[in-house]
Amino acid sequence: MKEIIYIQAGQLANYTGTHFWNTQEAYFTYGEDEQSEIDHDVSFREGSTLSGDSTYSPRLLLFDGRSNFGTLSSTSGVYNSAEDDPGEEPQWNGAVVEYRQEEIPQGSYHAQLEREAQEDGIPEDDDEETSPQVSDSDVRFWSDYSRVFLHPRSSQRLPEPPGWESTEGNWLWSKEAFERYNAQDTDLMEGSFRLFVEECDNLQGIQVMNDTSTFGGFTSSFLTVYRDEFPKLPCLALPILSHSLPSHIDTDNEAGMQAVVNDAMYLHDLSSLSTLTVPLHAPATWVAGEWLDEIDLNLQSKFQTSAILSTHVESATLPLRLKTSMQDLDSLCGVLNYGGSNRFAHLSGAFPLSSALHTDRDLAGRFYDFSLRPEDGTKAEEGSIARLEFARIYVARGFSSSDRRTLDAWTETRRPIPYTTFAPAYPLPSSFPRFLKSPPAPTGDRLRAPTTRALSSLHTTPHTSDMLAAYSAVIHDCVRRGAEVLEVMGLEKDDATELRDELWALRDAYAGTEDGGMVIEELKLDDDEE
Amino acid sequence: MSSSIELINPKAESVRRAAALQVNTTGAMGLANVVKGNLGPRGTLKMLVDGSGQIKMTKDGKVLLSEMQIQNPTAAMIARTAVAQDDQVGDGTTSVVLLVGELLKQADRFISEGVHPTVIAGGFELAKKEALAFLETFKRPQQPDRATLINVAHTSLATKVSAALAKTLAAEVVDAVLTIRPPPPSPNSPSQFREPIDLHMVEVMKMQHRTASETQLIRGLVLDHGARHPDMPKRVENAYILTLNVSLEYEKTEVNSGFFYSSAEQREKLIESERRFTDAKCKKIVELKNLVCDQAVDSKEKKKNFVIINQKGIDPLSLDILAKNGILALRRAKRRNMERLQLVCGGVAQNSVEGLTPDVLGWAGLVYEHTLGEEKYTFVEEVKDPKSVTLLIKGPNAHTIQQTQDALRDGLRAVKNAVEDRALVPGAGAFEVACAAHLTGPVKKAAKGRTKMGVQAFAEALLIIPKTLAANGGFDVQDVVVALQEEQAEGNVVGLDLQSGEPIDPTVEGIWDNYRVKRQMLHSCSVIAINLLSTDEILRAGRSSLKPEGQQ
Repeated sequence: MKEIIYIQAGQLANYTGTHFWNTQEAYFTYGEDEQSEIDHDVSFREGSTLSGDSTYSPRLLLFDGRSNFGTLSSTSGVYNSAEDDPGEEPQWNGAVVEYRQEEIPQGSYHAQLEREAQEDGIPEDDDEETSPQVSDSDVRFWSDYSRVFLHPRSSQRLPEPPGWESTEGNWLWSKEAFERYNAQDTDLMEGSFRLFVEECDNLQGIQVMNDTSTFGGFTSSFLTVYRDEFPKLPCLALPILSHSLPSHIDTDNEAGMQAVVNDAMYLHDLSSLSTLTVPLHAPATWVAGEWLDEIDLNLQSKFQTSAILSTHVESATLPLRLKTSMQDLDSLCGVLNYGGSNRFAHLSGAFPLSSALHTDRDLAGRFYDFSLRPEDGTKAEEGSIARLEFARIYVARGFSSSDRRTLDAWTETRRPIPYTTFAPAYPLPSSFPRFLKSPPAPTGDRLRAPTTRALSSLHTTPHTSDMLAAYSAVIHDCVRRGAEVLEVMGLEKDDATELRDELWALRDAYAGTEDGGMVIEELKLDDDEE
Repeated sequence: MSSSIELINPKAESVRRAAALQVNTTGAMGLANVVKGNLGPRGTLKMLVDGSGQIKMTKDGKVLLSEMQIQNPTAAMIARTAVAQDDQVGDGTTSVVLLVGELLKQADRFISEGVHPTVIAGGFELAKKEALAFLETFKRPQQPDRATLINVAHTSLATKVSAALAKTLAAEVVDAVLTIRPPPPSPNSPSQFREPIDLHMVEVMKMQHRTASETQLIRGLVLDHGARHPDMPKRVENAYILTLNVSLEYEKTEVNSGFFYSSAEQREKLIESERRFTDAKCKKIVELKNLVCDQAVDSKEKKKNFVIINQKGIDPLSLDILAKNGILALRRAKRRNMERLQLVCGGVAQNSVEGLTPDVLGWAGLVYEHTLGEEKYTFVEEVKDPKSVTLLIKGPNAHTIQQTQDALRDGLRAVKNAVEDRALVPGAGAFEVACAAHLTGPVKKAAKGRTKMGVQAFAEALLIIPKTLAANGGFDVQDVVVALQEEQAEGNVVGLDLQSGEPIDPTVEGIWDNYRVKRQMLHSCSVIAINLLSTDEILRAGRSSLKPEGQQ
């Protein structure tokens, strides 16, 4: 058993994470003769409540501002021990004054689920009509569409900054938030995190997803402490970058500049702290195109965009949880970064695939790269033949045998040859947004979610050099102008110069191999494929 | 008239002079009103329920201030100072907030009559200096004995938890601190410096179980995890303890070994040889165990056992080896427990299994596991001469446990302060009453010109502490203050009895406050009050500039 501990920090990361866990829940099988292809123990832990009921909850630490948790409280869910009436509190013999915030009413999706659970006893056949669903307007918090019960240790509620302070891109504030939170009696690293680690027999590593603008400094500090204790254990980081792009930023836009510098600092830290980093661009910067042909996507809706992110993150990392797969975080990072200097990878994919696979369509125009800076989108297509990839893995969900042949035939022609994992189809639990233009047919079984097909991929490519170069250029420009933003971020001039140079050095690792080095590396990979 | 800042940044807002002071005074008094009810053993307990129904019970000013989402910048600034006060000395948050509010209120009275704020601020400065000097004469230097320390702990605890609970906890808290106190330097050592008390050596462990009154002091260590192997013993007596910081997990070699083998067999071989490395480490430990624990079959001696507490991981195969040899092993212990274990059981923590000798081992008379739902606890008890202890907090639910924990934290700090200060200050408002009299008397007389007004305001403000104590106790504030002042004028040390509302001598009743808390309180409140008084313009920068100009 090789366990993974998951870390989610920030609002969008938690929106995405909630979809991710709902998908994991959809893999559960309930019949005796059903065998799941997923090894649930990788991501879930067994436990029991004080009253002896057994529980199964995610190995997850999630961080967010206190007010973003919605109705989720640490006493709700399976660990809810019958709450004593606080009125009979013997702890204080004086008066008690109550301050009650307005109670947040239950979300409509949860209400529907409860109703469904109650009706369970009564056999009714009109399920099709009443099956619960989430509409965009019902989602107030990410907890509103969660289908899993979290362990009380999972929810880490951070104090909120005062209303007049903006924390977007505020690196120092975010770092301090971690120090404060870890030092207080909450005892994060020595407490909650350590206890999750203690449970694991053979931890394979951690998977971290975070909002960079609000939780960059926080996560960086977290990973520093993690590295202190676990110098070798793999870490897969999926930072969701801010919506300010380094190549488009207006130098007068201070908040934007701050966000960009913050992103740059976080990426720089990840290059040494994380084993593999897959930067993801904020949904606000996604460029609509052919890839959205089958989806009715509202780019403004966190609920919907996070579902797409989650689909590809879940699929691309699925080999880590498949029973049949030998892949673990260590080997996954090893495959993508076999040379040792490419610690940044791209996430891309096509979803949904409603008709048979067409390589010209589904692997080109419909295949969206979430890590590529959008302005490079058009350039990339033209240049994709000239610019080779370093390594790529595909995870194909629910492919028919003819689709498999099509994909195999296509990958044969690619150099280096990508790894392909064929995995079961992607389940769409009722919490998944209904934005597909041709939704899959319901299974008729309430315990089994309908599924659809998808293709996701992680790859390392020279394109990463463009992103790193752009960040390096922004820092360079700031240093040259002596921009105030550096001071705000707590960067001395020397630090900033160093940051610029190191980002540039990282860039070189990608750009430098474009020509001569390629042939040798190809050979190596071929070897490994055997 | 528009402020100059608005010319530069049109989005900035500003308030000036009298209006600025008004904003600060309102903010400070508003905050003071919120925490006012908390002060003293008769204050009210606040129950905070958030939108998701989560409950928090507190009487601690610090907890309250950090829980509340304060949106007024002045209030937030005061709250931060007050919380810093708590971080430094462990108490006095509520008093600081009350004093700041009252200082500004008193100042406001003079300012509305045309006195310039800086004059008042000057008076505050003088009054603070004199008050600190007065505190030096007022404190009672003594090396407190256990009975006095229990009184100190009780004074602190009684303001946070019910009287009955405070009584039981007070003794536990004092014993905890006295146990971990470093010994005095030997008379012939060159430096006569006694190590400070490190409260981290009191482990605080929480157990959601039964009632708060079962909270107890364990002269030993309680760990929040247990053995991860079904065959390991759950209870051992007469045990050697090995404190370890060595990974007993299978670890792949550093290099990405993917390229170094060409067949599955080779891969197996490599894994096997890597595994052998881990097994060898376990074997070394087992050898040590056999060395110290082997006894003749018919030996009359008590059976000896072996326990490993490791900061690093132990994988199932290693656990297996250890279990087969009858060893109880715990993995992933807290970093700090490595230090505590050495203090509890003796022995030396090991970073390597090379050259293990029996003298690195500690000893405990009893090690046993306790399971509560999915939580496991391991008790290391019956040790010889513990220099570190555990306070085991029990309670029926999370918020009761939290409340007890907050109270214990304050109690521990109070006892530590008392021991290290070698001095105490009579409580129940005695210092404030005496200090106010001192300021209005000799100090005011000696002060020059208008500064007198600042001194007067400061003296009046100090009385807010006994006044609030009286109000929270349900007594008539004016009656109480007059009675106290009269008694004080006769030269007695006088505090307020919250049961009767009558003046009492706190030194007789055993009501003691910490010297350093009072000192810090005088500092914090006057500094922030002077700052707020000297403010003549408040700027709120527009959104485009994130950092207000005022910050440097």
